[in-house]
Amino acid sequence: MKIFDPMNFQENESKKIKIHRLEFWLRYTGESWELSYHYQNEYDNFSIENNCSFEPFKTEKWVFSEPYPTIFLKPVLADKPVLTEFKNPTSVLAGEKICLFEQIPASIDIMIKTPKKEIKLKQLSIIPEQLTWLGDPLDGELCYHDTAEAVFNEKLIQYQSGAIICPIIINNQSNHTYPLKQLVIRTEFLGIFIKNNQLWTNMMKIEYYGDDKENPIDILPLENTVQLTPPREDIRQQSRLIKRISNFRSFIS
Amino acid sequence: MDIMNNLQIYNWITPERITLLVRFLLTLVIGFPLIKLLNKIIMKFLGKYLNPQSEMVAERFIWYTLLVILVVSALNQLGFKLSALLGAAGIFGVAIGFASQTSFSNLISGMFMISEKSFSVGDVIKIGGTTGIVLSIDLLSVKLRTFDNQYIRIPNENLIKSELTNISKFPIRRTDFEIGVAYHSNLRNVEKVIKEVINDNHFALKEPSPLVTIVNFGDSSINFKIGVWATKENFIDCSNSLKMDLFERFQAENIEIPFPQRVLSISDNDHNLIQQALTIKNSLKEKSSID
Repeated sequence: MKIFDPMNFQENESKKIKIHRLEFWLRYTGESWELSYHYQNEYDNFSIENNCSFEPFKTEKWVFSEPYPTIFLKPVLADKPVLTEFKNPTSVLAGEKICLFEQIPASIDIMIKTPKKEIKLKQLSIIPEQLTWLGDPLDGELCYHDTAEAVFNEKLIQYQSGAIICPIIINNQSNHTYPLKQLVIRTEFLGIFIKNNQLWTNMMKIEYYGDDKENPIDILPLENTVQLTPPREDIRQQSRLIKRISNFRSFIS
Repeated sequence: MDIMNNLQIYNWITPERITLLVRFLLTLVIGFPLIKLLNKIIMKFLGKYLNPQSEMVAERFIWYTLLVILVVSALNQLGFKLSALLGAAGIFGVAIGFASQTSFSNLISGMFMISEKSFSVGDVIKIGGTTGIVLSIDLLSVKLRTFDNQYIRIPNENLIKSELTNISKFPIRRTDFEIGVAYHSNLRNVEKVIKEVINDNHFALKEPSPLVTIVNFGDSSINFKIGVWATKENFIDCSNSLKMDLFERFQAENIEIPFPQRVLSISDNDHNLIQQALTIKNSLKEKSSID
């Protein structure tokens, strides 16, 4: 995807980049990088405008001893789990296996390239983040809140720029209907892939046996894709987290 | 005289006494690093189960206990009878006890408080009229730093006796406040506007759901109670920004926040009285202007 390609700046050059509701300006002065950003009311597609004036909204500056004129954007998942509320609550009938596709907002790491390494300047979410609390007020967990439309057919996905599609298989092996009102996406265990010029996460597979039973969850790789960002935490190496993630209630509430 | 004194010393220094002295010193020299090591081992084991505050108190307690054992053992090597020592310590203890009742009360209160785990270092607590961040929980007192940067020492006894509020115990808190709107307002619209403002607030949590309810019909306004959840870190920002956002939005939507007001009803009799008073006032005015 072109937006994630490295960009070389001339001295005192500014670019304006729009992704969904995020609009930001980057300026390279030769010895520093400057960033200014704000959120628009309406969402937009990807766009890059070259040689535009630098608008000072929320401005930050990074100074370097060497000139580093190459910058690139890297899509990442939010740093907290995302609790998605479905616009149209759906029920999964007993014995049914469904696959739903949900779009969650991405965050963007703004990175510069030095000869030795890549340095992250800033992480920005493509929409203003709305916080919510998952679980009991005494010992729950802080999450981001999002409202989404659950789509059950891949062809019907209306991809929004900057969003990441999360495919989820729910196999209702219990003997009762499961009402699907909201879903928690544990972003720390998911990687980002490029498929058909869209951003995708790993596939989550949930076997549902009932609220009072063990409900195993698998994170599966996506086939025919290119991995762009690996997961922040490896689920296989963390037994404590496996216990946490294997609780179905932490995914669906 | 000097010779006599020297002779007395030489008489006192017998091989048995030198042996006792060496044993006493050896006990101290070997025992001191040994109890240090033992303390470390015990704390390494206990450290897994205790929080930093309890760990600090336990470490002091174990250290002083081991030290007393070492000193008693060392004195025992010198031939001191432990029972006599304890007897003397008992009498001494009674005297000290009478003199330091408050300190012991604080000490015991401190023990109870630590075991109760009502708060820990870094928490924000409110006791009486004092609110501050806990700097340390010691055996005799708790030290606080208030938000205007004052250092306050509260004896443990006071803390045990008084009602204490731990403001930062739980990760999320609800900010509650009331706002009044004029009686001619469209209440459903007011409720909708308040909910929109909460929904747009960056610090307000989506869940648990915010509370928006009419609490009473006041003298001058209809009062809404608003309760919005925020993380404890964002609590003040949330409360502050919500009030500002609401004020601005009410102004934009022409929703009136009324001042305290009184309605005066004037009857016909009152009307006549007012007319008479005005006539008198006017006549007095005319008179003063002629003069």
